[in-house]
Amino acid sequence: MENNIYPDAESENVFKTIIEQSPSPVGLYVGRDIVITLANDAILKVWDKDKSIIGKTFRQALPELEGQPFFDLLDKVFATGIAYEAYAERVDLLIGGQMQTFYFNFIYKPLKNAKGEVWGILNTAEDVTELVLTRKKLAEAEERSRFALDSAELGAWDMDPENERVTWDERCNQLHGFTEGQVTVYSDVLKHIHPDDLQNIKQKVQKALTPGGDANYDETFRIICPSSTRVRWLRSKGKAYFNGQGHCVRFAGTTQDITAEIRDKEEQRKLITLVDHTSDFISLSDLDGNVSYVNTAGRKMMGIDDDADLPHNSEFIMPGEKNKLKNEINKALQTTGKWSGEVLYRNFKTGEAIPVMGTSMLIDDPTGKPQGRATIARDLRTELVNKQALVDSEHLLQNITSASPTALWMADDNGMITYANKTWTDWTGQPTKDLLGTGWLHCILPEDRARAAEKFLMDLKAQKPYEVDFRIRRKRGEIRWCIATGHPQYNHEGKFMGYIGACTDVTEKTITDIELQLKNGELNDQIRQFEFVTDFMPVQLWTAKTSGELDYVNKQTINFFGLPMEAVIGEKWIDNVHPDDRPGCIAAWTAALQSGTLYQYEFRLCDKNGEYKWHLARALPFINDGEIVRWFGTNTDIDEQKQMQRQKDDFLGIASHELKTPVTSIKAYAQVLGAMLSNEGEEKKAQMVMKMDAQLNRLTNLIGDLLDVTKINSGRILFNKVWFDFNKAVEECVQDLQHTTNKHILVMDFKETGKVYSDKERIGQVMTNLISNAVKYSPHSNRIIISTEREGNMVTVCVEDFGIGIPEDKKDKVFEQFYRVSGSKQHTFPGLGLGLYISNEIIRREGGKMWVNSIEGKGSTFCFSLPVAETK
Amino acid sequence: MSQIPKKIMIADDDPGIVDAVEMLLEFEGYSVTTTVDGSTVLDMKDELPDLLLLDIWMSGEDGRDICRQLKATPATKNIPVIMVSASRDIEQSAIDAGADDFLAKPFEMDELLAKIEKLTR
Repeated sequence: MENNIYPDAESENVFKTIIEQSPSPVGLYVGRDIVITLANDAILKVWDKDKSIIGKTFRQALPELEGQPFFDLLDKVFATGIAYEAYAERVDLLIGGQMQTFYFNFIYKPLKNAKGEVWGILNTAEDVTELVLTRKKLAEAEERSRFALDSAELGAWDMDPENERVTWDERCNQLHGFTEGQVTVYSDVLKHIHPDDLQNIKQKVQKALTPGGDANYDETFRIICPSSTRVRWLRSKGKAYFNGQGHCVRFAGTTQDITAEIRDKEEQRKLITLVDHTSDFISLSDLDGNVSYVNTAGRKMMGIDDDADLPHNSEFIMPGEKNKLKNEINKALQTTGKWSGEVLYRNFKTGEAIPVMGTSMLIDDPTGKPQGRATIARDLRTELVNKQALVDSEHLLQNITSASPTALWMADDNGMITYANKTWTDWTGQPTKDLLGTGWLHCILPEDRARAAEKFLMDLKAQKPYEVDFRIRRKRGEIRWCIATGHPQYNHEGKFMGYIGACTDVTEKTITDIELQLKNGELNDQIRQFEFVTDFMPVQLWTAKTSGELDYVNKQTINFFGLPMEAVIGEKWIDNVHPDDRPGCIAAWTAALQSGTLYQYEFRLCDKNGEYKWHLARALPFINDGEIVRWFGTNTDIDEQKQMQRQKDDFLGIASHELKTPVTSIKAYAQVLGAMLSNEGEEKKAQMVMKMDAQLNRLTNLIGDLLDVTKINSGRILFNKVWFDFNKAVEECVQDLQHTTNKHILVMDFKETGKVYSDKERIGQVMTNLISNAVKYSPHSNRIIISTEREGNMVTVCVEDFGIGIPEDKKDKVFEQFYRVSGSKQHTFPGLGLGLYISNEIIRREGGKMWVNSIEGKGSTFCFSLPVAETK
Repeated sequence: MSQIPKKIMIADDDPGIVDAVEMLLEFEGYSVTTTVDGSTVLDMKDELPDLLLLDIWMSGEDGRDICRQLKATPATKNIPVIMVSASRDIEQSAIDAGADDFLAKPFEMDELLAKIEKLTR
């Protein structure tokens, strides 16, 4: 039978081999009964059968396929001769005893003989189970994401950056305002984006697509739908995907409509801005009064910092208002849901009470149930202040108009008075009806009346501002000075309408002015008299500021200098002083200015002929209320005195010099005579000559004193300074003088002094003077103590006697020139009165000082101290 | 001590002093010449003194000028000069003019003799 089947045995073998070897499942079923004649390993594996099934019918071999369409299909193919092709057809197979589902592409192909009769069926198949299952899973996943997108109202989009082709869903179309098919490429997408957002979107997409970035895209933008004018807000989020080479291969994401969200936010923002910018206080709280919000103005009014916690609403009001809150406000809210009225708030920082006009209301939730309360309050402080200010200014105006010495008036374009306030009537007693028109002129004094009227008419004609002064007679007959002023008035067309003006009583001012004038006149007279006197005086008078600058000199001074006033006063006065006298003069003047005490100095002033004349300047401060306001001074011409003094000094100088010459020769003669007499043995005569010589020495000393005085007075005393042992020099003097007295014992009480730099001869002269004075003025005692000591840079010598002493009031005078002790017996003491003067001057000029301590009748101690060396 | 007396010249415009000092010096054994006219001092030629006692202020002549000229002249520059003045203050200017010593009037005779002795030894 088999041989019959295959027309050609050889081809049958070939065919058989091909089938056997095919990796795809192949089976050959023959005859109407569908007998499995061939089944390769692949198909056997699919069936999970072995070769034993070959030769069995399909039904016998695969009974598990019962209920599935395959038996019928095979019968139909055999009967009709039409092939059956299946794609991804489900096949349930018994594998390892279990039914399992597979999917196959398979063909039942009828095999026909030459007559066209079907003799068998070739079954080829391909297992696509995996493919089908994967597809199924994919489909499910897509379904799920679609579901998700739908529920989130998200549109999904996808772009191939390579060709900018865009694939998106219907929702994207709707959101972007397109209909299906309108968007295929990226440029289409951009068409409905708001122009203001377009640039940004382009940039951000570009950024996301740029390799190396974070690839994320998340933008909010507006769409203008062509169908409506409404703007729709969209938010688009996406991500760019890059391949291994860094090329962007996909850009996909979602888009969502956020218009409502944006609108809500915008509305909220506007509302909050509004609330925050209102000048009124606005707050929100819950029903229990816990405040949750206070606007900016409210925080400012209440002194609550921006970040501070909000207190309970009962703390917002003054403590005294709490009853009002409880009994009135809260009750009104409970019953009517609203309250309005005034209440006092309290600033949290300052505690200041703030009057407000407040409105509180309950706020309902959507179901109509109260959920909180809102309060709006207006700060009444400014209003109250303004109200008070208005009242005050009204008062003020009233006060001013009634109290001011000003009459107010109006006149028409003819110059007729049409109004005057009460002040004019108060002044003049003239009733309003009488003063109108030109009646007011009657109150003006006849002397001034014509002038006032004329001026008024002139200004009226010229329509210019009016001002005139006149006197009026008041109702009690009193005469007052007035100034009337008027400002021209024009209507809105520019036509002159008359005047509005005022009339002011200026009597007080006028009187003051007149008095001032008189006073000034008097003062000027006095000043002129004073000037006459001062100019007439033969002394230079001057005044100086406290700074020391001269600010006035009299005529005498100007005449003396022959210079203009400017060259004498101010700082220039010193230029007229002899250059040699300037330093001392400035020092004395400065000292006086600083101490506020008498200024006195002698200097030479350059007169108009360029000659220097000696003047004595003296000045005293003028003190007012304890403060120096000015210095008053004089310069007295002492040139003649000075000349006399100089002549005297010159005379003494020459005289003493001339006296010395005969003394020298007398001394020579005496000494020669004394020597001769000694040689001749005439000792007695020789003694007498020697005594003569001693008297000559006294005479020489007196001449020396006179010469010294002239030197001191003329400043020509010279010192020949050397270093010498001070104690030793004093001791030499003491010893020399001890020889001249038998009565007194000179006691030396020396302490270490060291060397000093001074004129040894002059110091000796001073010592001699002090010791001989001590001897001379202590005739009834026998002891004189000479002591020395050194303290710091000063050496001091004291000569103490126990003689007649010096009266207290004369102590300072003993150092004066030609002073001699006075008193009952004192005149009996010899001397010119120059010794202490010279000694004091020597010590002073050597930089030291001399002083005396004395008790009358008990004795005196004369001391002087000297710097060891010049401190300069 | 030499037997030949030392020659002292006294120049002073006051005849009293010239006379008294001359008497004193002769008494002490000196040989003395005198002049009361300062200008003649520079005229001395033949007999130069061993010492000159020169007054500074001599009517019309300044002893210091004379001293300077003497000290500038080779023949006279070695003569010791003692200058005399009534003013103690010009001692320094006398020394500056070349004087060998100075005496202030009125002077003690012993002092004068000591100075002469010292300069003529």
